[in-house]
Amino acid sequence: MREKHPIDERFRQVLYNGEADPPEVVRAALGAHLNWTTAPRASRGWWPVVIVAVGLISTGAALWAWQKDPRSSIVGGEHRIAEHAAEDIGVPANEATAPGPSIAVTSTATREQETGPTAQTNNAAKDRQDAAMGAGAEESRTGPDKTHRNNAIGDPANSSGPVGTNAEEGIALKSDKQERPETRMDGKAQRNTTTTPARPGDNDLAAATVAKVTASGHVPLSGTPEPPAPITGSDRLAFAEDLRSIPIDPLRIAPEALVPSGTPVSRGPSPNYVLPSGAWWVGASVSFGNVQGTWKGTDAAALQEAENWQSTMQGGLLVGHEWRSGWGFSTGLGIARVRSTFQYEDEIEGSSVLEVDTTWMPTMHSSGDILFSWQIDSLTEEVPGGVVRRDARNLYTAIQVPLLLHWHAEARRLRYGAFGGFNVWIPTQRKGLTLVNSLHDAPPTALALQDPQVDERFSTQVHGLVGVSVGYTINEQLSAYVEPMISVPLVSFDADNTPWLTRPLLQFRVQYELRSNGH
Amino acid sequence: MYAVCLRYARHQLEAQDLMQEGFIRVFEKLSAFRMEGSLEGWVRRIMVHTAINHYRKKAFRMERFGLEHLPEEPVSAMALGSLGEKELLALIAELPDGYRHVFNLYAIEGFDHAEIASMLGCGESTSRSQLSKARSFLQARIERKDVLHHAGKTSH
Repeated sequence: MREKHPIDERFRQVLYNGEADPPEVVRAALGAHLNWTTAPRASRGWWPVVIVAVGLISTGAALWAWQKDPRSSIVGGEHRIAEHAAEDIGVPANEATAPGPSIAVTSTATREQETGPTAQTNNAAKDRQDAAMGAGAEESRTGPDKTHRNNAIGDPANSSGPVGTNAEEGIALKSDKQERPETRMDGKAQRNTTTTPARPGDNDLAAATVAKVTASGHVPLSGTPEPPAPITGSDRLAFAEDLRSIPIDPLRIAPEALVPSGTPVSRGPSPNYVLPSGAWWVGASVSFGNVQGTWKGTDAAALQEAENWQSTMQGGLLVGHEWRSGWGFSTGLGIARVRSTFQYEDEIEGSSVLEVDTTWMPTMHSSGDILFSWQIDSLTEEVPGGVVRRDARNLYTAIQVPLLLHWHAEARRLRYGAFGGFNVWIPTQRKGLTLVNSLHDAPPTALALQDPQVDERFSTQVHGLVGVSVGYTINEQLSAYVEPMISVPLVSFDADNTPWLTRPLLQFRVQYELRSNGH
Repeated sequence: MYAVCLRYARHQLEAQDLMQEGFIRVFEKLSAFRMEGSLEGWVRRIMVHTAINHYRKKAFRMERFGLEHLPEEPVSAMALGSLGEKELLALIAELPDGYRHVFNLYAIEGFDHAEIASMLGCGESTSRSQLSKARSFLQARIERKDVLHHAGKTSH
């Protein structure tokens, strides 16, 4: 049974549906991150959504392309209407268009329809009527046949009706329920009307004209005029001027979603707040293990027999970086010691030793002279040959510079992974005995490891290192690892008689993750 | 979802981190959402699990006190009722990590102790103990705030 507690209740009541707005930087960072990651693959259930989206985008792109076409420009059509209207009523074009060319002509059409027997109006039409004010309206009311040329495009936003498209001439025409009576009675014309959705905005073109067109692009009226010629020369300049005067929001005409994929899109500055890609860490390690050594070179066989490799120990400091993916690298500096026992029986040949004993005696004469009497005795002693056993505990020391690649994964507090890389092995000190063969015919004899004669045996090597890692995160920053690994020599520089030390090791490592500032 | 992250995090930067990580996971797993049930609930679950996993990674210290029943005196309803969302959030943020997560999961998200134990990788008794400790902690803080509030009023 779940216990009730007033504190629980209060917190749940207030905080369960609590809302807070994250800083913009989080959204920006999230967006930035998702842009460079692979988008999730659409599953089968998304196909309908994808199809609808593609359809919408295609429609929008077509609409955008149509609007962008100068021949189908709204203002262009408007301009032509004004021109034709002016010609028909015998007034200059600028008068016919003042204060607004399309408004005047459209107004005429609307009013006629209101008075006509079959006039149909809707709210959009009424709006346009309200917007259609000025003398142009009176002038263009001179006859109904003047208005049938008003193939202008008004503002689709304010029209609830469809918009016609003249495919042949590229002239955008507007169709509405506000039609001329003749037009509306023509059933074919109505059926052939092509429609597109209305576009919001553009109040400057609110009083658009109404016309009905057929699919072929001709107005199906008696005495249908010639199609208006494309705008060229000065007309185009005038059209451009008109266009500039109209406040058009380009985003509404061509929303960002409909911009072709090739269109360059400027992006804002990268967000300041991003998750840290990784963290630096420092660590210390100590390793123990066995050594399997193999001598190479001229005295290899004797050395192999004399030296018995025992153990190795190494320790060092590491610094590394681990990315959020679990991959990382590290390097550092360490010291390694390798121990071995040396046992060799030095063969000594027999020899004879000559010992000489010399004595003298002074004798005093009366004349005052001193006479020395010398006696020399020699003795030859034979020293037999034999075998001298040489024992030593050898110690080799080297500096190590590892360069490792890591990978780690996590399971709760446990971490597991693997690593591998190279370890530069630089011999430094050595103590004990080794063998040298000073004479080719004679067997090798023991010699101190510190002797410069054997310096050349101990040169820099490169070892390969590979291992697995199991760790435990002690707290947020500190973790400890146990890492079985093996170190194998790969390359030795400038050395012939050199020991190749294969070392299986068990490494204990602690790692301290340096705090990240979130950047 | 940011409010959820704020409840589990110790400070705002951590909440931002959690939120970003959570939403990345949401988008990665979006194909796995079967359109059954509430999308908000699904996203919320991911956020909670992201927060829990975040602290598992960081190996927060889960105080293991065993089953303890601390003596609790009910905090006054007036003191509780006077606290708003920001103050309650601040109180939660003051809780140690282990307390905070158990309290969030039990008191606010509505998980039971068995579920919490499974999510946090601890025993049920630990979950109960943590909850009890969290309540005691919150109670002490609320009473202290109440006392300070009254003291401030009388001094004026």
